[in-house]
Amino acid sequence: MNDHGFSPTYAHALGALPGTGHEWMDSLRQSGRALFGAAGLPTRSMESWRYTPLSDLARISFSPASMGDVSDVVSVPMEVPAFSGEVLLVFVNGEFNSNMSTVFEDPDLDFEFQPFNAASETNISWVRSRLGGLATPSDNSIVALNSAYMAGGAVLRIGKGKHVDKVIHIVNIGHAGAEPIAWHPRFLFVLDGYSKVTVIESHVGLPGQTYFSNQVVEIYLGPKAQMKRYIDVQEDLEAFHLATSAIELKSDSSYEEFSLIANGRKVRRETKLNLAGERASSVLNGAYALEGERHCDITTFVNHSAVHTKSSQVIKGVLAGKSRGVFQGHIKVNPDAQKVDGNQLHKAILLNRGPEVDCKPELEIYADDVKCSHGATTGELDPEHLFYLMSRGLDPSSACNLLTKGFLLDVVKKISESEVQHAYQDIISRWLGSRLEGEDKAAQL
Amino acid sequence: MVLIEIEDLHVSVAGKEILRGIDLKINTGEVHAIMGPNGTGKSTLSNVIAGRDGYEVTAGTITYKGQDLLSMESDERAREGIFIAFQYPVEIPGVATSTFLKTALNAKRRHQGLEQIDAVSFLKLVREKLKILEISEEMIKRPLNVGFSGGEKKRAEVLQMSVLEPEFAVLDETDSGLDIDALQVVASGINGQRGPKTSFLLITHYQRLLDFIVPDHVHVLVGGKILRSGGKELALELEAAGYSKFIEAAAA
Repeated sequence: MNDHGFSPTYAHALGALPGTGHEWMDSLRQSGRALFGAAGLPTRSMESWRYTPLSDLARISFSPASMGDVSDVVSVPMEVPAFSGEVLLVFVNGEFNSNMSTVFEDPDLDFEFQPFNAASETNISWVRSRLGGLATPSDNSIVALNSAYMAGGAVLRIGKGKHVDKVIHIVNIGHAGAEPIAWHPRFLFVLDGYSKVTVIESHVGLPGQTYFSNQVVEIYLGPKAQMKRYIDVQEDLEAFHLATSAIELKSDSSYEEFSLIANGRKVRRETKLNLAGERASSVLNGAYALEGERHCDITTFVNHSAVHTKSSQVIKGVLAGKSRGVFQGHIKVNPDAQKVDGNQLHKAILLNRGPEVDCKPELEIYADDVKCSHGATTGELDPEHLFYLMSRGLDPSSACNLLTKGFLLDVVKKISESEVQHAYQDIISRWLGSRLEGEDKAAQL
Repeated sequence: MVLIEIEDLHVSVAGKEILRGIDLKINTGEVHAIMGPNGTGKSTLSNVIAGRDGYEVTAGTITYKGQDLLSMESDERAREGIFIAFQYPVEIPGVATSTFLKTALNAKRRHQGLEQIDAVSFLKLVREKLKILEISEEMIKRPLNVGFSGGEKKRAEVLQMSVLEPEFAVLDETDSGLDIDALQVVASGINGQRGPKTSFLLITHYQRLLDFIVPDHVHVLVGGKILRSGGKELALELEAAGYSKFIEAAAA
């Protein structure tokens, strides 16, 4: 099978890839190339990709990001929320940008950090032993593709017992100038036992050509480690955003995640989370707001492989125009994982006739003393609610907006960091505001 | 001055005629009460005035401030000064009561060409009204009506009314389910709004509320028609004798 536009320009870039010559990097890349070469981009016939075809992506001939000119990207775009006391790690087209980052300015940095490219040249044992441990090329061809060409991104380690009190804000800026480009950044987070950190990942795009961001993130949580991870996606209108996260939780560790998707032509965030230690717990919440022809796919696999583990997931989506939302949530409870509590809820509101939601919950339970639940609803705004608001003087658009905002805010309120809650509320308000403006303009025509 | 005039109104719900020719004229500053047994069309009247779907006007007119009310959308009617305190207010999770109220107030102000009110000024305005209605600030931070008891919902409706300052307020069985103390609180909220520029239509089953909000006119609605109109004594008469002779008259 062909590489769908990746081999011609990519092949010659091979010699320049970070870590070349180091066996541990080379073998990962070789394995990635071989597996991607054999399988190609996922097609509709693959169960997991049934609702998110990549034929449009496959038709585009992407060049490596390194060939793009990013000299005009000098500041963090306004849409990216700012947080008090944040440590900024800025990546442009996947590559670490030291000018815009503040991480090296901080003398009291209580975590280890290295840009991925530098880390792949040194032989840090904790990176070498873990890279590719949770996300391997054999998982799927998207991970294989990333493994083959990975460049950019970073490795971070929080040492035993360390509580990082400053928020680590990773800002990913995408910008394609003259021609379509792709990048495959790799992130590795290792939290040693008893450590604690909050990481915010913002993805934003500048207008230009179409681009393809194919990120893989591996997260290792040691015993009693706690991580909060908040992700906001506001890619460019024409951008493809594929992100794969593979997370492992050891005993008594906890992971809280919230992802907000508010823009991007086609976004797929796939998460594989393994509750491997007793009493580990995870929260995978999110919200998405789509209009036009946007497509958003949230695919998760939560694996309970230890006793007394807990997982919870609430995803809410609002769709307008002819957009498409996909939710695939798989919970697996292994035979020895007794006393497990797992639940999952997906709710979507369609603001007009046109959008489509595909929802596929899956519960695979092998233990007999567990509590698992799932729920999925797709509908329209309640006419009784609309009527009530209108009876108080709100015009139909304002009433619709207020209800839509309330619907999404319900899950945003679960974010335990209030600054992030407010920042994400603002992103939602802006999304709704621009919809209202668009409607006003359309009405005036 | 005539504020609202209903002429020969016939309304059907799901093909069944509920209102069979209602005539009612309310002047500015007046308080009218409509009393009647259950199932007789009282809520149908308030829903038609509100403009709710599912109520078919088969004949008659409603003129409000000289305009044809029935051709106006629900939100337009509200911005023109009509307010309905519903019998069963809906719960709306995710929408904070105070946010919603401020949005509604600003929608009205925009319509009247007035300046928008900001969050701080709004809170000042609302505090006074909260005190009278014995509603805590904490309660209005909560989502609209969610988890409110029946009595709290009724008080919340009256709070909305006092913030929006309508010209014509219809209170649909606002007194039902309230104990005497709650009733007095609600009544003082309503009386606080009473004035030459505001008219009220109290729809009620019991006479009790009318002890606190003394009406100018009382109408008896039975079988979809107003069978008799009178002054406040009519309410006391109904209290003593019940609706039975009216029901017999309607059946005849």
